[in-house]
Amino acid sequence: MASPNDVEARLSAALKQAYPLGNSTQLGNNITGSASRGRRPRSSALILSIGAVAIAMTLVVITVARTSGENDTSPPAGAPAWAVSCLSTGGPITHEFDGLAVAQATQKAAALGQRLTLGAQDGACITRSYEFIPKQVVIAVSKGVIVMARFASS
Amino acid sequence: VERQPFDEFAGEHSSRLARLGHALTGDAEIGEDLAQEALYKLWKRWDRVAEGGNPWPYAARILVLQWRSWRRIKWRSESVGMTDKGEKSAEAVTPFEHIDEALLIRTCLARLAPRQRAVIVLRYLEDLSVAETAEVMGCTAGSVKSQSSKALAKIRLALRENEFDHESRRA
Repeated sequence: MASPNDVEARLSAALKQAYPLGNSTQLGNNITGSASRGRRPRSSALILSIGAVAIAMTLVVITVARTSGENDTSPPAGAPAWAVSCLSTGGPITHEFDGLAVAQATQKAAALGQRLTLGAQDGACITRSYEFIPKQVVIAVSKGVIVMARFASS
Repeated sequence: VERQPFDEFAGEHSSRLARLGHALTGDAEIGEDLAQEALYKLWKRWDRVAEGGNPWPYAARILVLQWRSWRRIKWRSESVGMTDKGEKSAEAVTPFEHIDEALLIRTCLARLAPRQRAVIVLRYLEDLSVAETAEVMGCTAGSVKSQSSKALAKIRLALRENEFDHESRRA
């Protein structure tokens, strides 16, 4: 019979084989890439709640666009590269929207005395948990505030 | 203590966090999502965390807490490692000769209670000590030892059954 230490060593080796480092796709995978993996099954309650969040995000964008007086679509100096790229192409974002990118963008915006407002309060919406929502990203830049949201396209 | 820049830490440890999330949830994509959110939360507390000089246990703790929240919400069934996607994922990245072992170990993990699964993953995948595991899980070292012992007994049994099956097939 295998000794306890044998089992622990075997378990450790087997776990490292089952879950090798770098097994997961990199966190910086773009949204388009992850979307191609298809939808995930979700409960209807969750889908409804996500829908509500999507509508709320849309309202945030509309409200900010109205209250800002003007929609200056030119990015502020020093805006994160992906935001500049998105604004310049006007197309759907295919850039990294991972936690690190969001954190870096927030950090850079703060260093510039600007504020990066995410669609959700804590930025958690910018993950692939929401990938089943058809991709539509709106970024409005106005008076140094970058507003970003993802919602279901009509 | 010299503070490590957040970007550097994230670059070094994002894969490790994603792997931890994958092992806990049994789903590579959810593991990545947990890692992303853990990184974001870590960044918000980075000034304070980096002062200590070793942010990894704190990052792992955030991920474990995220995992607990995820389980509470029940976004997924608890069939860790038994989904089609999980098995495909194992085949895609695991050398052929290790597939049986990888699937077996995933099955073993799936059968463990969540706390036991977390202890096993932290102790034997992340190679954390009993004290470090206790810190990450927010429990006592005694509890880690107890959960570990129970989990190892179940795994030992599963390994023995698997070997018995192989022997029977050969005979």
